Amino acid sequence: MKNFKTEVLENIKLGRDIFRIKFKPQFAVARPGQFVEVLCAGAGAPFLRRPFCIHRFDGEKGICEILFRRVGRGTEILSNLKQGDMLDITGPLGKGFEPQAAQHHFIAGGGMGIAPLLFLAEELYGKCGSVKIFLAAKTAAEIPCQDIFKQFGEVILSTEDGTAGEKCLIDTPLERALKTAPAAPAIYACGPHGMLRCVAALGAKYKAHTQVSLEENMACGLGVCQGCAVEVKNKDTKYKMVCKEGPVFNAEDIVW
Amino acid sequence: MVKVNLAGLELKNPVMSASGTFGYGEEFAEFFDLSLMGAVVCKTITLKQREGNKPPRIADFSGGMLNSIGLENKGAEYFVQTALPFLEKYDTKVFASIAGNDAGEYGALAARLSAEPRMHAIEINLSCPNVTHGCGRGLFCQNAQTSAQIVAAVKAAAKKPVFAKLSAMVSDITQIARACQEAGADGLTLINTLPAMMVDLKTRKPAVGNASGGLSGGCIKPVALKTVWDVYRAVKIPIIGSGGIMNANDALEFILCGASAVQIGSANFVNPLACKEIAEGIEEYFQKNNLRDITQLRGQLKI
Repeated sequence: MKNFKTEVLENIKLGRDIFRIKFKPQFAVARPGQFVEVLCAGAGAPFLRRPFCIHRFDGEKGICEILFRRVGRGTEILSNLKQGDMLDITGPLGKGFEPQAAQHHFIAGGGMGIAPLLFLAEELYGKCGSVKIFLAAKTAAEIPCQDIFKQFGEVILSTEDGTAGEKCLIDTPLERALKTAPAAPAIYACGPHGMLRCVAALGAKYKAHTQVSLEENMACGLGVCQGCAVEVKNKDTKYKMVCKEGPVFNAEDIVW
Repeated sequence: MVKVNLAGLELKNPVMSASGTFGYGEEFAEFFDLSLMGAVVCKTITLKQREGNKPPRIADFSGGMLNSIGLENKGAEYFVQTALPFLEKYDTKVFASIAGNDAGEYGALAARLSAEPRMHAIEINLSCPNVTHGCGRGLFCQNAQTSAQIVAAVKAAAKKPVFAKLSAMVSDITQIARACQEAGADGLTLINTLPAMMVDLKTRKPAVGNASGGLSGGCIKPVALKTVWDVYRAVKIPIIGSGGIMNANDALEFILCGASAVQIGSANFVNPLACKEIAEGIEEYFQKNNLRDITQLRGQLKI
Protein backbone atom coordinates (compact mmCIF):
# COMPACT_ATOMS: atom_id res chain seq x y z
CA MET A 1 0.00 0.00 0.00
CA LYS A 2 1.06 3.53 -0.71
CA ASN A 3 -0.11 7.08 -0.23
CA PHE A 4 0.20 9.18 -3.35
CA LYS A 5 -1.14 12.15 -5.25
CA THR A 6 -2.28 11.67 -8.81
CA GLU A 7 -4.22 13.48 -11.51
CA VAL A 8 -7.82 12.79 -12.42
CA LEU A 9 -7.61 11.41 -15.98
CA GLU A 10 -11.35 11.36 -16.49
CA ASN A 11 -14.54 11.91 -14.47
CA ILE A 12 -17.68 10.73 -16.24
CA LYS A 13 -21.28 10.95 -15.10
CA LEU A 14 -22.79 7.57 -15.95
CA GLY A 15 -26.27 8.07 -14.62
CA ARG A 16 -28.25 10.00 -12.08
CA ASP A 17 -25.73 10.70 -9.30
CA ILE A 18 -23.37 7.95 -10.52
CA PHE A 19 -19.81 8.85 -11.47
CA ARG A 20 -16.67 7.07 -12.60
CA ILE A 21 -13.26 8.56 -11.94
CA LYS A 22 -10.17 7.29 -13.75
CA PHE A 23 -6.68 7.96 -12.40
CA LYS A 24 -3.14 6.66 -12.74
CA PRO A 25 -2.36 4.43 -9.76
CA GLN A 26 1.10 4.35 -8.20
CA PHE A 27 0.81 0.65 -7.55
CA ALA A 28 1.32 -2.06 -10.16
CA VAL A 29 -0.76 -4.82 -8.64
CA ALA A 30 -4.26 -4.93 -7.19
CA ARG A 31 -6.85 -7.63 -6.55
CA PRO A 32 -10.56 -7.46 -7.37
CA GLY A 33 -12.31 -6.52 -4.12
CA GLN A 34 -9.47 -4.37 -2.82
CA PHE A 35 -10.17 -0.70 -2.21
CA VAL A 36 -8.56 2.73 -2.03
CA GLU A 37 -9.08 5.50 0.52
CA VAL A 38 -9.66 8.84 -1.19
CA LEU A 39 -9.26 12.20 0.50
CA CYS A 40 -12.20 14.48 -0.29
CA ALA A 41 -10.69 17.96 -0.05
CA GLY A 42 -12.64 21.22 -0.13
CA ALA A 43 -15.12 23.36 1.77
CA GLY A 44 -17.29 21.30 4.09
CA ALA A 45 -15.36 18.13 3.23
CA PRO A 46 -15.79 15.23 5.63
CA PHE A 47 -12.90 14.77 8.08
CA LEU A 48 -12.06 11.21 7.06
CA ARG A 49 -11.09 9.69 3.74
CA ARG A 50 -13.77 7.74 1.91
CA PRO A 51 -13.18 4.13 0.86
CA PHE A 52 -13.99 3.01 -2.70
CA CYS A 53 -13.55 -0.45 -4.17
CA ILE A 54 -11.43 -0.62 -7.28
CA HIS A 55 -13.86 -0.73 -10.19
CA ARG A 56 -11.40 -1.44 -13.00
CA PHE A 57 -7.65 -1.83 -12.96
CA ASP A 58 -4.91 -2.27 -15.50
CA GLY A 59 -1.46 -2.32 -13.95
CA GLU A 60 0.36 -2.36 -17.29
CA LYS A 61 -1.47 0.62 -18.74
CA GLY A 62 -1.48 2.36 -15.36
CA ILE A 63 -5.22 2.82 -15.10
CA CYS A 64 -7.43 2.58 -12.05
CA GLU A 65 -11.11 3.49 -11.78
CA ILE A 66 -13.60 4.01 -8.98
CA LEU A 67 -17.37 4.03 -9.42
CA PHE A 68 -19.52 5.83 -6.89
CA ARG A 69 -22.88 7.37 -6.18
CA ARG A 70 -23.13 10.97 -4.96
CA VAL A 71 -24.65 10.55 -1.52
CA GLY A 72 -23.00 13.14 0.73
CA ARG A 73 -20.59 16.05 0.76
CA GLY A 74 -17.53 13.85 0.19
CA THR A 75 -18.84 12.20 -2.97
CA GLU A 76 -20.28 15.53 -4.07
CA ILE A 77 -16.76 17.00 -3.97
CA LEU A 78 -15.41 14.02 -5.94
CA SER A 79 -18.23 14.30 -8.48
CA ASN A 80 -17.12 17.88 -9.24
CA LEU A 81 -13.48 16.99 -9.96
CA LYS A 82 -12.26 17.78 -13.46
CA GLN A 83 -9.58 16.20 -15.57
CA GLY A 84 -6.22 17.35 -14.23
CA ASP A 85 -7.44 17.93 -10.66
CA MET A 86 -5.39 16.20 -8.00
CA LEU A 87 -6.46 13.20 -5.95
CA ASP A 88 -4.84 12.03 -2.71
CA ILE A 89 -5.11 8.27 -2.52
CA THR A 90 -4.03 5.49 -0.17
CA GLY A 91 -4.10 1.95 -1.51
CA PRO A 92 -4.55 -0.71 -2.53
CA LEU A 93 -6.08 -1.82 0.76
CA GLY A 94 -7.75 -4.90 2.17
CA LYS A 95 -8.16 -8.46 1.07
CA GLY A 96 -9.95 -9.09 -2.23
CA PHE A 97 -12.03 -11.90 -3.72
CA GLU A 98 -10.42 -15.31 -4.08
CA PRO A 99 -11.48 -16.95 -7.36
CA GLN A 100 -12.63 -20.48 -6.69
CA ALA A 101 -11.84 -23.54 -8.81
CA ALA A 102 -15.51 -23.97 -9.73
CA GLN A 103 -17.20 -24.82 -13.03
CA HIS A 104 -19.64 -21.95 -12.65
CA HIS A 105 -19.16 -18.50 -11.18
CA PHE A 106 -22.10 -16.38 -10.07
CA ILE A 107 -21.44 -12.70 -9.53
CA ALA A 108 -24.16 -10.81 -7.67
CA GLY A 109 -24.18 -7.03 -7.35
CA GLY A 110 -26.86 -4.84 -5.79
CA GLY A 111 -26.92 -1.04 -6.15
CA MET A 112 -23.43 0.43 -5.95
CA GLY A 113 -22.27 -3.05 -4.94
CA ILE A 114 -21.61 -3.57 -8.63
CA ALA A 115 -18.49 -1.35 -8.28
CA PRO A 116 -15.87 -4.02 -7.41
CA LEU A 117 -17.50 -6.73 -9.52
CA LEU A 118 -16.47 -5.52 -12.96
CA PHE A 119 -12.79 -5.97 -12.08
CA LEU A 120 -13.68 -9.42 -10.75
CA ALA A 121 -15.77 -10.40 -13.80
CA GLU A 122 -12.88 -9.42 -16.06
CA GLU A 123 -10.52 -11.64 -14.09
CA LEU A 124 -12.89 -14.63 -13.93
CA TYR A 125 -13.66 -14.34 -17.64
CA GLY A 126 -10.05 -15.01 -18.55
CA LYS A 127 -9.94 -18.12 -16.39
CA CYS A 128 -12.10 -21.24 -16.45
CA GLY A 129 -15.80 -21.95 -16.24
CA SER A 130 -18.89 -19.94 -17.10
CA VAL A 131 -19.70 -16.59 -15.53
CA LYS A 132 -23.24 -15.43 -14.77
CA ILE A 133 -23.57 -11.85 -13.60
CA PHE A 134 -26.65 -10.85 -11.60
CA LEU A 135 -27.08 -7.09 -11.37
CA ALA A 136 -29.89 -5.52 -9.37
CA ALA A 137 -30.96 -2.03 -8.34
CA LYS A 138 -34.04 0.01 -7.52
CA THR A 139 -34.31 1.22 -11.10
CA ALA A 140 -32.61 0.81 -14.51
CA ALA A 141 -30.69 4.13 -14.27
CA GLU A 142 -28.82 2.76 -11.26
CA ILE A 143 -27.17 -0.06 -13.24
CA PRO A 144 -24.77 2.06 -15.25
CA CYS A 145 -22.29 -0.33 -16.85
CA GLN A 146 -24.30 -3.39 -17.85
CA ASP A 147 -22.90 -3.29 -21.40
CA ILE A 148 -19.32 -3.61 -20.14
CA PHE A 149 -20.36 -6.46 -17.85
CA LYS A 150 -21.83 -8.26 -20.90
CA GLN A 151 -18.33 -8.69 -22.32
CA PHE A 152 -17.44 -10.98 -19.42
CA GLY A 153 -20.48 -13.18 -18.97
CA GLU A 154 -24.21 -13.60 -19.17
CA VAL A 155 -25.90 -10.63 -17.47
CA ILE A 156 -29.20 -11.15 -15.63
CA LEU A 157 -30.90 -7.93 -14.56
CA SER A 158 -33.54 -7.27 -11.98
CA THR A 159 -34.99 -4.00 -10.68
CA GLU A 160 -37.47 -3.17 -7.97
CA ASP A 161 -39.55 -1.05 -10.36
CA GLY A 162 -39.25 -3.35 -13.37
CA THR A 163 -37.53 -0.76 -15.58
CA ALA A 164 -34.78 -3.26 -16.42
CA GLY A 165 -34.93 -7.04 -16.40
CA GLU A 166 -37.29 -8.80 -14.07
CA LYS A 167 -39.30 -6.84 -11.50
CA CYS A 168 -37.99 -8.47 -8.34
CA LEU A 169 -35.09 -8.55 -5.92
CA ILE A 170 -31.84 -10.29 -6.84
CA ASP A 171 -32.62 -13.47 -4.92
CA THR A 172 -35.34 -14.54 -7.40
CA PRO A 173 -33.12 -14.99 -10.49
CA LEU A 174 -30.18 -16.08 -8.34
CA GLU A 175 -32.14 -18.90 -6.70
CA ARG A 176 -33.58 -19.98 -10.03
CA ALA A 177 -30.06 -20.31 -11.43
CA LEU A 178 -28.78 -22.08 -8.32
CA LYS A 179 -31.61 -24.62 -8.58
CA THR A 180 -30.75 -25.53 -12.15
CA ALA A 181 -26.96 -25.33 -11.94
CA PRO A 182 -25.42 -28.72 -12.78
CA ALA A 183 -22.80 -28.29 -10.07
CA ALA A 184 -22.56 -25.93 -7.09
CA PRO A 185 -21.20 -22.61 -8.36
CA ALA A 186 -19.01 -20.15 -6.51
CA ILE A 187 -20.82 -16.94 -5.56
CA TYR A 188 -19.17 -13.53 -5.28
CA ALA A 189 -21.43 -10.76 -3.99
CA CYS A 190 -21.39 -7.11 -3.07
CA GLY A 191 -24.30 -4.86 -2.18
CA PRO A 192 -26.51 -3.69 0.69
CA HIS A 193 -26.29 -5.69 3.91
CA GLY A 194 -29.81 -7.13 3.58
CA MET A 195 -29.07 -8.37 0.07
CA LEU A 196 -25.81 -9.98 1.19
CA ARG A 197 -27.54 -11.71 4.08
CA CYS A 198 -30.01 -13.11 1.59
CA VAL A 199 -27.28 -14.21 -0.85
CA ALA A 200 -25.39 -15.83 2.04
CA ALA A 201 -28.49 -17.82 2.97
CA LEU A 202 -28.98 -18.94 -0.64
CA GLY A 203 -25.32 -19.92 -0.87
CA ALA A 204 -25.65 -22.05 2.26
CA LYS A 205 -28.91 -23.62 1.02
CA TYR A 206 -27.36 -24.68 -2.30
CA LYS A 207 -23.93 -25.47 -0.85
CA ALA A 208 -22.24 -22.82 -2.98
CA HIS A 209 -19.00 -21.28 -1.72
CA THR A 210 -20.00 -17.66 -1.14
CA GLN A 211 -17.81 -14.62 -0.71
CA VAL A 212 -19.24 -11.24 0.22
CA SER A 213 -17.70 -7.78 0.17
CA LEU A 214 -18.85 -5.81 3.22
CA GLU A 215 -19.06 -2.12 3.97
CA GLU A 216 -18.66 -0.39 7.33
CA ASN A 217 -17.87 3.13 8.50
CA MET A 218 -14.11 3.34 8.39
CA ALA A 219 -11.38 5.65 9.64
CA CYS A 220 -7.81 4.53 8.93
CA GLY A 221 -8.42 1.81 6.31
CA LEU A 222 -5.19 0.17 7.47
CA GLY A 223 -6.28 -2.05 10.35
CA VAL A 224 -5.07 0.37 13.00
CA CYS A 225 -8.08 2.04 14.57
CA GLN A 226 -10.36 -1.01 14.97
CA GLY A 227 -13.24 1.13 13.72
CA CYS A 228 -14.79 -0.96 10.94
CA ALA A 229 -15.69 -3.98 13.04
CA VAL A 230 -17.91 -6.75 11.74
CA GLU A 231 -19.15 -9.55 13.98
CA VAL A 232 -17.81 -12.96 12.98
CA LYS A 233 -18.33 -16.58 14.03
CA ASN A 234 -14.92 -17.01 15.57
CA LYS A 235 -13.92 -18.25 18.96
CA ASP A 236 -10.82 -16.06 19.26
CA THR A 237 -12.24 -12.65 18.43
CA LYS A 238 -15.80 -11.41 18.29
CA TYR A 239 -15.02 -8.90 15.56
CA LYS A 240 -12.90 -8.69 12.45
CA MET A 241 -11.95 -5.50 10.64
CA VAL A 242 -13.51 -4.84 7.25
CA CYS A 243 -10.50 -2.79 6.10
CA LYS A 244 -7.76 -5.31 6.75
CA GLU A 245 -9.29 -8.76 7.20
CA GLY A 246 -11.91 -7.87 4.57
CA PRO A 247 -13.69 -6.25 2.86
CA VAL A 248 -14.22 -9.69 1.30
CA PHE A 249 -15.22 -12.42 3.74
CA ASN A 250 -16.50 -15.95 3.40
CA ALA A 251 -20.25 -15.54 3.92
CA GLU A 252 -20.40 -18.44 6.36
CA ASP A 253 -18.00 -16.65 8.73
CA ILE A 254 -20.24 -13.62 9.24
CA VAL A 255 -22.83 -13.25 11.98
CA TRP A 256 -25.80 -12.13 9.87
CA MET B 1 17.06 18.10 15.89
CA VAL B 2 14.51 19.41 18.35
CA LYS B 3 15.33 17.10 21.23
CA VAL B 4 13.02 16.84 24.19
CA ASN B 5 13.64 15.71 27.72
CA LEU B 6 10.46 14.23 29.13
CA ALA B 7 10.91 13.36 32.79
CA GLY B 8 14.42 12.09 32.13
CA LEU B 9 13.47 10.34 28.92
CA GLU B 10 15.19 11.80 25.88
CA LEU B 11 13.09 12.01 22.72
CA LYS B 12 14.82 12.88 19.43
CA ASN B 13 11.90 15.16 18.60
CA PRO B 14 8.59 16.16 20.22
CA VAL B 15 6.37 14.09 17.94
CA MET B 16 4.57 11.06 19.33
CA SER B 17 1.59 9.07 18.15
CA ALA B 18 -1.58 9.27 20.22
CA SER B 19 -2.74 6.01 21.69
CA GLY B 20 -5.35 4.14 19.65
CA THR B 21 -4.58 5.89 16.38
CA PHE B 22 -1.35 4.14 15.51
CA GLY B 23 -1.86 0.52 16.57
CA TYR B 24 1.58 -0.76 17.51
CA GLY B 25 3.14 1.06 14.57
CA GLU B 26 3.33 -1.86 12.17
CA GLU B 27 0.92 -0.51 9.54
CA PHE B 28 2.50 2.96 9.50
CA ALA B 29 5.98 1.47 9.11
CA GLU B 30 4.92 0.73 5.51
CA PHE B 31 4.62 4.47 4.90
CA PHE B 32 7.66 5.89 6.71
CA ASP B 33 10.54 5.03 9.03
CA LEU B 34 9.22 5.01 12.60
CA SER B 35 12.70 6.02 13.76
CA LEU B 36 11.77 9.53 12.62
CA MET B 37 9.37 9.82 15.56
CA GLY B 38 10.16 10.94 19.09
CA ALA B 39 8.03 8.15 20.49
CA VAL B 40 5.34 5.65 19.58
CA VAL B 41 2.47 5.46 22.05
CA CYS B 42 0.81 2.12 21.54
CA LYS B 43 -2.89 1.32 21.47
CA THR B 44 -4.20 1.00 25.03
CA ILE B 45 -3.90 -2.49 26.45
CA THR B 46 -5.84 -4.17 29.20
CA LEU B 47 -4.76 -7.23 31.20
CA LYS B 48 -7.07 -9.51 29.23
CA GLN B 49 -8.32 -9.29 25.66
CA ARG B 50 -11.28 -6.92 25.14
CA GLU B 51 -13.69 -7.31 22.26
CA GLY B 52 -14.77 -3.66 22.05
CA ASN B 53 -18.11 -2.00 21.35
CA LYS B 54 -20.77 -2.93 18.85
CA PRO B 55 -20.53 -1.29 15.42
CA PRO B 56 -20.81 1.20 13.88
CA ARG B 57 -17.83 2.58 15.72
CA ILE B 58 -16.91 5.54 13.53
CA ALA B 59 -18.73 8.66 12.34
CA ASP B 60 -17.40 11.96 11.05
CA PHE B 61 -18.28 15.46 9.93
CA SER B 62 -16.25 18.30 8.48
CA GLY B 63 -14.60 19.27 11.76
CA GLY B 64 -13.65 15.92 13.16
CA MET B 65 -14.73 12.44 14.03
CA LEU B 66 -16.40 10.32 16.67
CA ASN B 67 -15.19 6.87 17.69
CA SER B 68 -16.62 4.26 20.01
CA ILE B 69 -14.06 1.49 19.64
CA GLY B 70 -14.23 0.53 23.31
CA LEU B 71 -10.55 -0.34 23.82
CA GLU B 72 -10.62 -3.46 21.65
CA ASN B 73 -7.22 -5.11 22.14
CA LYS B 74 -5.66 -8.54 22.44
CA GLY B 75 -4.36 -8.09 25.99
CA ALA B 76 -1.02 -7.51 27.69
CA GLU B 77 0.70 -10.78 26.75
CA TYR B 78 0.01 -10.29 23.05
CA PHE B 79 1.43 -6.77 23.34
CA VAL B 80 4.61 -8.01 24.99
CA GLN B 81 5.07 -10.82 22.50
CA THR B 82 4.31 -8.97 19.26
CA ALA B 83 4.34 -5.17 19.63
CA LEU B 84 7.53 -4.81 21.67
CA PRO B 85 9.69 -7.08 19.45
CA PHE B 86 8.45 -5.23 16.39
CA LEU B 87 9.11 -1.75 17.80
CA GLU B 88 12.53 -2.78 19.08
CA LYS B 89 13.77 -2.53 15.48
CA TYR B 90 13.23 1.23 15.47
CA ASP B 91 15.24 3.97 17.12
CA THR B 92 12.31 5.56 18.92
CA LYS B 93 10.88 5.50 22.43
CA VAL B 94 8.02 3.14 23.17
CA PHE B 95 5.15 4.14 25.44
CA ALA B 96 2.69 1.50 26.61
CA SER B 97 -0.80 2.84 27.24
CA ILE B 98 -2.69 0.95 29.92
CA ALA B 99 -6.25 0.76 31.20
CA GLY B 100 -7.94 -1.32 33.88
CA ASN B 101 -11.10 -1.59 35.89
CA ASP B 102 -9.51 -0.50 39.14
CA ALA B 103 -6.21 0.64 40.66
CA GLY B 104 -5.21 -3.00 41.24
CA GLU B 105 -5.47 -3.85 37.53
CA TYR B 106 -3.55 -0.73 36.54
CA GLY B 107 -0.84 -1.69 39.04
CA ALA B 108 -0.69 -5.27 37.78
CA LEU B 109 -0.26 -4.06 34.18
CA ALA B 110 2.49 -1.65 35.22
CA ALA B 111 4.29 -4.44 37.08
CA ARG B 112 4.07 -6.81 34.12
CA LEU B 113 5.31 -4.22 31.62
CA SER B 114 8.07 -2.76 33.75
CA ALA B 115 9.99 -6.00 33.38
CA GLU B 116 10.27 -5.21 29.65
CA PRO B 117 13.40 -3.26 28.73
CA ARG B 118 11.92 -2.52 25.29
CA MET B 119 9.24 -0.33 26.82
CA HIS B 120 10.42 3.11 27.95
CA ALA B 121 7.40 4.70 29.60
CA ILE B 122 3.81 4.10 30.64
CA GLU B 123 0.85 6.27 29.79
CA ILE B 124 -2.11 5.69 32.10
CA ASN B 125 -5.34 5.99 30.18
CA LEU B 126 -7.67 7.48 32.78
CA SER B 127 -9.95 9.08 30.28
CA CYS B 128 -11.30 6.76 27.60
CA PRO B 129 -14.92 7.86 27.06
CA ASN B 130 -15.87 4.52 25.54
CA VAL B 131 -15.67 2.28 28.57
CA THR B 132 -17.69 2.51 31.74
CA HIS B 133 -16.11 1.98 35.10
CA GLY B 134 -17.69 0.52 38.20
CA CYS B 135 -20.14 2.37 40.47
CA GLY B 136 -21.23 4.81 37.75
CA ARG B 137 -18.16 6.95 38.35
CA GLY B 138 -17.77 8.02 34.75
CA LEU B 139 -14.20 8.59 33.66
CA PHE B 140 -11.57 7.78 36.29
CA CYS B 141 -10.00 11.17 35.71
CA GLN B 142 -13.21 12.97 36.62
CA ASN B 143 -12.40 12.26 40.25
CA ALA B 144 -9.15 13.63 41.69
CA GLN B 145 -8.94 11.01 44.42
CA THR B 146 -9.50 8.07 42.04
CA SER B 147 -6.95 9.51 39.60
CA ALA B 148 -4.40 9.85 42.40
CA GLN B 149 -5.01 6.29 43.61
CA ILE B 150 -4.45 4.84 40.14
CA VAL B 151 -1.35 6.96 39.50
CA ALA B 152 0.07 5.90 42.86
CA ALA B 153 -0.62 2.23 42.14
CA VAL B 154 1.13 2.46 38.76
CA LYS B 155 4.05 4.44 40.17
CA ALA B 156 4.56 1.85 42.91
CA ALA B 157 4.82 -0.93 40.33
CA ALA B 158 6.54 0.87 37.45
CA LYS B 159 10.25 1.37 37.07
CA LYS B 160 9.77 3.72 34.12
CA PRO B 161 8.38 7.26 33.77
CA VAL B 162 4.61 7.41 34.15
CA PHE B 163 2.30 9.81 32.32
CA ALA B 164 -1.39 10.28 33.16
CA LYS B 165 -3.70 10.93 30.21
CA LEU B 166 -6.58 13.16 31.23
CA SER B 167 -9.84 14.45 29.82
CA ALA B 168 -10.89 18.08 29.50
CA MET B 169 -14.42 17.01 30.46
CA VAL B 170 -13.93 17.87 34.15
CA SER B 171 -14.95 20.80 36.32
CA ASP B 172 -11.40 21.90 37.17
CA ILE B 173 -8.58 20.31 35.21
CA THR B 174 -5.89 21.95 37.35
CA GLN B 175 -7.21 20.15 40.44
CA ILE B 176 -7.01 16.75 38.70
CA ALA B 177 -3.60 17.57 37.24
CA ARG B 178 -2.20 18.55 40.66
CA ALA B 179 -3.63 15.39 42.22
CA CYS B 180 -1.80 13.30 39.60
CA GLN B 181 1.41 15.25 40.17
CA GLU B 182 1.20 14.75 43.91
CA ALA B 183 0.53 11.03 43.44
CA GLY B 184 3.83 10.79 41.59
CA ALA B 185 3.01 11.19 37.90
CA ASP B 186 6.12 12.11 35.93
CA GLY B 187 4.06 13.94 33.31
CA LEU B 188 0.58 14.48 31.88
CA THR B 189 -0.98 13.91 28.48
CA LEU B 190 -3.69 16.46 27.65
CA ILE B 191 -6.29 15.76 26.27
CA ASN B 192 -8.10 12.53 25.42
CA THR B 193 -11.09 12.58 23.07
CA LEU B 194 -14.12 14.42 24.45
CA PRO B 195 -17.29 12.48 25.31
CA ALA B 196 -19.70 13.38 22.52
CA MET B 197 -22.62 12.29 20.36
CA MET B 198 -23.73 12.47 16.76
CA VAL B 199 -27.26 11.73 15.65
CA ASP B 200 -28.66 10.51 12.35
CA LEU B 201 -31.94 12.36 11.85
CA LYS B 202 -32.99 10.02 9.02
CA THR B 203 -32.85 6.87 11.15
CA ARG B 204 -33.32 8.73 14.46
CA LYS B 205 -30.46 6.69 15.82
CA PRO B 206 -27.14 7.69 17.34
CA ALA B 207 -24.36 7.64 14.72
CA VAL B 208 -22.32 5.07 16.66
CA GLY B 209 -23.45 1.76 18.13
CA ASN B 210 -22.55 2.68 21.70
CA ALA B 211 -24.75 5.82 21.47
CA SER B 212 -21.90 8.12 22.43
CA GLY B 213 -18.20 8.16 21.67
CA GLY B 214 -15.02 10.21 21.79
CA LEU B 215 -14.71 13.36 19.71
CA SER B 216 -11.38 14.09 18.04
CA GLY B 217 -9.94 15.98 15.11
CA GLY B 218 -9.41 19.66 14.37
CA CYS B 219 -12.61 20.74 16.15
CA ILE B 220 -11.21 19.89 19.61
CA LYS B 221 -7.92 21.76 19.22
CA PRO B 222 -9.08 25.01 20.88
CA VAL B 223 -10.33 23.04 23.92
CA ALA B 224 -7.05 21.13 24.10
CA LEU B 225 -4.94 24.29 23.80
CA LYS B 226 -6.72 25.96 26.71
CA THR B 227 -6.41 22.83 28.82
CA VAL B 228 -2.66 22.65 28.19
CA TRP B 229 -2.23 26.34 28.93
CA ASP B 230 -4.21 26.12 32.18
CA VAL B 231 -2.37 23.05 33.40
CA TYR B 232 1.06 24.35 32.32
CA ARG B 233 0.71 27.15 34.85
CA ALA B 234 -0.57 24.80 37.57
CA VAL B 235 1.98 21.97 37.62
CA LYS B 236 5.74 21.46 37.40
CA ILE B 237 5.74 18.15 35.51
CA PRO B 238 5.98 18.10 31.70
CA ILE B 239 2.88 18.09 29.52
CA ILE B 240 2.33 16.20 26.30
CA GLY B 241 -0.20 18.15 24.26
CA SER B 242 -2.77 16.36 22.14
CA GLY B 243 -6.10 17.10 20.50
CA GLY B 244 -6.77 18.02 16.90
CA ILE B 245 -3.16 18.43 15.78
CA MET B 246 -3.29 18.16 11.98
CA ASN B 247 -0.03 19.85 10.99
CA ALA B 248 3.23 21.31 12.32
CA ASN B 249 1.69 24.72 13.04
CA ASP B 250 -0.93 23.11 15.27
CA ALA B 251 1.84 21.25 17.10
CA LEU B 252 3.85 24.47 17.58
CA GLU B 253 0.78 26.18 19.07
CA PHE B 254 0.66 23.44 21.72
CA ILE B 255 4.35 23.96 22.50
CA LEU B 256 3.71 27.71 22.86
CA CYS B 257 0.93 26.89 25.33
CA GLY B 258 3.31 24.82 27.43
CA ALA B 259 3.53 21.36 25.90
CA SER B 260 6.96 19.68 25.94
CA ALA B 261 5.88 17.17 23.32
CA VAL B 262 2.83 16.51 21.17
CA GLN B 263 0.75 13.51 20.20
CA ILE B 264 -0.73 13.08 16.75
CA GLY B 265 -4.03 11.23 16.73
CA SER B 266 -6.84 11.35 14.18
CA ALA B 267 -4.52 13.09 11.70
CA ASN B 268 -2.90 9.67 11.16
CA PHE B 269 -6.18 8.46 9.63
CA VAL B 270 -6.36 11.37 7.21
CA ASN B 271 -2.68 11.44 6.32
CA PRO B 272 -0.64 8.31 7.01
CA LEU B 273 2.51 10.45 6.83
CA ALA B 274 1.25 12.97 9.42
CA CYS B 275 3.76 12.12 12.18
CA LYS B 276 6.73 12.30 9.82
CA GLU B 277 5.59 15.54 8.19
CA ILE B 278 4.83 17.22 11.52
CA ALA B 279 8.27 16.27 12.91
CA GLU B 280 9.86 17.76 9.78
CA GLY B 281 7.71 20.89 10.01
CA ILE B 282 8.68 21.51 13.64
CA GLU B 283 12.36 21.08 12.77
CA GLU B 284 12.00 23.54 9.91
CA TYR B 285 10.28 26.13 12.12
CA PHE B 286 13.03 25.87 14.72
CA GLN B 287 15.72 26.35 12.09
CA LYS B 288 13.98 29.28 10.42
CA ASN B 289 13.47 31.03 13.74
CA ASN B 290 16.95 30.23 15.07
CA LEU B 291 15.54 28.27 17.97
CA ARG B 292 18.01 25.78 19.41
CA ASP B 293 16.04 24.33 22.27
CA ILE B 294 12.39 23.57 22.88
CA THR B 295 12.47 25.60 26.10
CA GLN B 296 12.87 28.73 23.97
CA LEU B 297 9.34 28.19 22.66
CA ARG B 298 7.64 26.15 25.35
CA GLY B 299 5.07 28.16 27.28
CA GLN B 300 6.28 31.38 25.62
CA LEU B 301 2.78 32.48 24.71
CA LYS B 302 2.67 36.31 24.80
CA ILE B 303 -0.13 37.29 27.14
